[in-house]
Amino acid sequence: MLKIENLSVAINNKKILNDFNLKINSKEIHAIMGPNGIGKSTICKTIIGDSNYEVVSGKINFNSHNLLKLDITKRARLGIFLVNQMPIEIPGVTNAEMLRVALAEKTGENVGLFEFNKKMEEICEKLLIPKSFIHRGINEGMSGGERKKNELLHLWMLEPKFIILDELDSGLDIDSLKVVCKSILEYYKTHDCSILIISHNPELLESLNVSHVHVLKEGKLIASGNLNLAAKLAKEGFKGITKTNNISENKKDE
Amino acid sequence: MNKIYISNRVFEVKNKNLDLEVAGKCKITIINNKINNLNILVKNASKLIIEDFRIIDKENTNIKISIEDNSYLNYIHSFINNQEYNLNIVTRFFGNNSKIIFDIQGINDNGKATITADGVLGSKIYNELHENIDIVNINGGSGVVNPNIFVDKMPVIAEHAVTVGKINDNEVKYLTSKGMSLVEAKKLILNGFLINKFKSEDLVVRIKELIKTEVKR
Repeated sequence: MLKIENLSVAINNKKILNDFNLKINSKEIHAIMGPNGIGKSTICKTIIGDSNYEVVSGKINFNSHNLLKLDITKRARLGIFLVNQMPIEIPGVTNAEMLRVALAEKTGENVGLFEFNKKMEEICEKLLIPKSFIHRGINEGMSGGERKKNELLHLWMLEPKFIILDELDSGLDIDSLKVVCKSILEYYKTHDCSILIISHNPELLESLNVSHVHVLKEGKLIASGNLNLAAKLAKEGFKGITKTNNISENKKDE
Repeated sequence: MNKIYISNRVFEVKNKNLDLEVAGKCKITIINNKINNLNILVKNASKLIIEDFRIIDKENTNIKISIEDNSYLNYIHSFINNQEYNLNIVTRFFGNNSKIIFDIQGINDNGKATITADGVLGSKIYNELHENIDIVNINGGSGVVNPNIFVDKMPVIAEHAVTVGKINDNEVKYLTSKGMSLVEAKKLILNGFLINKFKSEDLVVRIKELIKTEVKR
């Protein structure tokens, strides 16, 4: 599904990712952990095509498409979707407006109003958010938790194939986190998709049944494993993980 | 014939000038009409909300607001401009303990808008004047804002906030990352910017229709 090879990325001439490699197959859930400011969010932004991030070298392929040749819109239409760490407000632009335009442009057909509204209402019920969200300005006046649920409303409507969750648990209380995780897992089980999670939280990775855990340091992955690696990080911290105790890449621990 | 809506009743205005005295609670809606000289006196203990949307067509707009004691006015004004446009606002406080909020949003689409906001708080006290002006320039448009606030005596609150800039890149990025084209994303952001401050849902719907039929971007 997604293959990143020897990727180096810079912001304002400062190299953040350096010879970064990652392969995620269909129906896999991967997580990247690492200390603050190490470049985890850079990975997300580079995959979606944020023009602030300069790709110095390397490749990103998604289902045989060379992503680096595509702009942010085209990547999204291929099915790449980022659940932002802190989704921004867009005053005056409603969820319904945005989603109807995005769906119409993606499919090249007008969106049937009845079916569209029905689906939106069903998703609102599933996410335990009021139906008034449908016609509310995007993230306007919403709490951190509501914004994350609003992102999931977009996710269910746009039906992406590759989902990136950047610090999903930030701004979410325990109950909201449960609802959000349940919704993501339901989506994952019912759709042909893969997920990449950026998080510090081993409990979150466990509740999302993450299959592969990676550690990012100095711009590249220095260790990979399964949930045991996340548990080890929780116990020993990032200092305990070095290249020398690399756990075989993309394979589960015995 | 120009029409305005006062507390949901329609009134016809025969020329470009309108003088109003408002007492009590009242809401005035002005949609894309040619009333260029608006002179309003807000009487004692009154509350007035004005929602005013215009697609600028050569004419300048002069707004003069006077307010007496213990009163409140919120003037929400949005415009799209592709001309040389002057918006002149004069505010006078004739009494104490009143509050005026101006929320002005404008898009200069290859036009130039000059906004002059004169607020005279004078020797009256416990009054508040808040001027919030946001201008977005597109297609070579430009904007100039001249604030003049006169205060002789304290305590009063007088503030003037202005932003003049382009479309917010982060908003464009957010919408395009959901699969929307750049053109549609910008259209939605600009429309949202214009209607954002208006409170009445039916007014928002009418403005959107008006933008769709009257504005080519």
